[in-house]
Amino acid sequence: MAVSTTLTAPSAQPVSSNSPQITATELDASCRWPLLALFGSAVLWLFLGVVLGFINTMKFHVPGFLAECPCFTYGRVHAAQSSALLYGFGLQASLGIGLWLLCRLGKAKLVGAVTILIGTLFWNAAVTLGVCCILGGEASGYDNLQMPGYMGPVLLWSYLMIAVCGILTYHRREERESYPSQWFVIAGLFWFAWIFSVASMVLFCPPTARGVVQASVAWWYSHNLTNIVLGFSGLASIFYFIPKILGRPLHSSYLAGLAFWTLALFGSWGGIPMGAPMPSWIPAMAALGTIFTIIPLIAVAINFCHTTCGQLKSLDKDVTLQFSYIALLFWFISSAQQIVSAFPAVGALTTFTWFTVAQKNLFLFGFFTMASFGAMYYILPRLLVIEPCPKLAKANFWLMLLGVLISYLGLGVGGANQGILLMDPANKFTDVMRATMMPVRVSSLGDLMIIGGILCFLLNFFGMFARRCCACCKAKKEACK
Amino acid sequence: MSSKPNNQPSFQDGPEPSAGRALVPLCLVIAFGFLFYWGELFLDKHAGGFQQDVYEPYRSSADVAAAQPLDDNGKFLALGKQKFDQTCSLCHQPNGLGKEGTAPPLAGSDWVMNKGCNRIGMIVLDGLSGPVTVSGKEYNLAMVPWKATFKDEEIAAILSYIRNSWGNKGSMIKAADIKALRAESGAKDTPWTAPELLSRPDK
Ligand code: HEC
Repeated sequence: MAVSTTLTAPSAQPVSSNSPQITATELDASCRWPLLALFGSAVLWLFLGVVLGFINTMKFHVPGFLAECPCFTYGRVHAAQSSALLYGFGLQASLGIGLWLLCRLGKAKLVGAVTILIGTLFWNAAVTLGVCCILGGEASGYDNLQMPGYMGPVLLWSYLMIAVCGILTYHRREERESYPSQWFVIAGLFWFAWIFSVASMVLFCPPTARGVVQASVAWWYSHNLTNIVLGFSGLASIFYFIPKILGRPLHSSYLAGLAFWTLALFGSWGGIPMGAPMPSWIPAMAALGTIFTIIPLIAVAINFCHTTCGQLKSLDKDVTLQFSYIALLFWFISSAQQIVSAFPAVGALTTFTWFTVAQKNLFLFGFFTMASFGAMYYILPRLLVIEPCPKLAKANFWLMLLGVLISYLGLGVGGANQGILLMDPANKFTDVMRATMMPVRVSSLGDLMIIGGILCFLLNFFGMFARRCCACCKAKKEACK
Repeated sequence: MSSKPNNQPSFQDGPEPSAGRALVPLCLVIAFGFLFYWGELFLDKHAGGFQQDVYEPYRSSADVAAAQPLDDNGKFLALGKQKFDQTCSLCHQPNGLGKEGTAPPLAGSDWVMNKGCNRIGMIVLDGLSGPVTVSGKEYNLAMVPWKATFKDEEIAAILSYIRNSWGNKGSMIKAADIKALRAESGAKDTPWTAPELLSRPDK
């Protein structure tokens, strides 16, 4: 019945979740184990990633820190950290959230739970091996694609095992009309498979590309991985959870569509800085693509202004809502900063300074991580059928928020100042570097708070898990009596 | 009564979100149109004409060419262009097409593309007057002599330049050739006429 009515009635009537066929509880139950595996490993990788990141930050303050051990030299730790964060945490979290959204929005049980579990197992094994290889000195040297090329096939294969199950789940959906979040999720699944296979082929399969092609493919991949694949995942959960929790329909699916297509079309060009050593038309197109992302930015802004208008009071009610709002805000700030930096006059100042690092960190921690936390605070309790600890959740939220802000402001202001100082040839390079020490110190403080926030989430997650296990044991014992 | 953990929490799950059908505001669409127009201007300025040899900080292929170091031939031709633009171009025009009533064209001229400079060298040294046929068209004007103005090398450079510009193809002229012509013309102080020149061999 649900099928036929929604097909003939395009008007956006909220469809009751108490559909006679499948209840939300049943849907959640169908994704329990695969999602717990994905989320659990994602969170562990996230923690490992930020700890590795902090080891590197320490090197700015105490240059001799862990300097004797080749495994923990700056370059290797940096590569290991970005792999842990992007592949260990980012992609697994986005897969988990994506699968759940596909189940919920399509009102279909998850397809291929076992396949997903096996895929997750292989994925984690590959990332673990990859990170070990990096620490052992085998990094590929491509930013955000640091794991050695021979891990590529395993990574791609295990990703496909999971992604195909997601596509099948979408295919079997009972709710035929699709919601914007589903577009973002599905596009993200295809997008990663596409960019990862192309980048691996071009950069790792002999004859490997050289020169301009090599550099532009590496930049293209790295930009698309963060801005499109992770960006789409974050937007998918924001587009879902804000209307869902407010209990109001999203203002306009047309605006969402405009944002989706323009982001996919123009957002994917960017990432190559002006003045890169390649024919000027390539960086010029990259800059223009980035500037054009003002379109999705405005479209999303209008959409959410109308969706949430007058509802900001309910902000402190729900932790998922809090995380989603803040993630959306940080998405705006970081995207706007990216657009501004794409103008040649600004880019000349900010490229190769802390300013760009600030923007990237804001995107990864402020937007993507916070959006994922928000989603997981909604999903995990339903998977484990147990409430999270509200105090830890609150601490998690505030530590993340303040940490991200402090780190961002430190690096952003310091980076802008660094860029201005660097423009004057009278300033000695070492003096300019010394001037950035204070901002880096401030940002390290923020980093510590972020680590604290992530630790809170970790404890909350595994605390819930442990309590669930205890409850099950008790129930079994009681049943035996 | 079951213990606390067994007390399953009840999660409120509202309906799944739906999306409204509000249209994209028209002013937004118009603004994007302007943005695309601006994008073209941006590319015009920064994309280096989409040429694969234009890198930062150059703006166009011409910029790149101008920045290339010249070999001896290139330097010689550059000298020729400089002198031509200062003097000859007043009558023959910078594009070598000449001007009705002032001077015949050099671009595509059969005189200019003779085998060597035996005739045009003399024209530049001593001038030319009276009826002359250039590329099948009759002219009857007068050109002043340049003997006193230019050195041999400069005349050779100018001639090499006009023989290799605007689609003209011809050999380079050497200063020694002009030196020989200058000696031959000696103290001649009247301009040449076309029949006189045509009686000289084309070499
Ligand atoms: C004052 C204007 C003037 C200037 C300056 C001038 N010319 Fe001429 N040039 C003429 C005219 C007029 C004729 C045709 C004369 C005639 O009709 O007999 C001519 C004819 C020629 C011809 C032969 C006809 C042809 O078009 O091929 C050549 C070659 C030539 N000029 C080269 C030069 C060069 C080289 C310079 C610079 C050094 C130069 N001219 C400067 C006016 C000028």
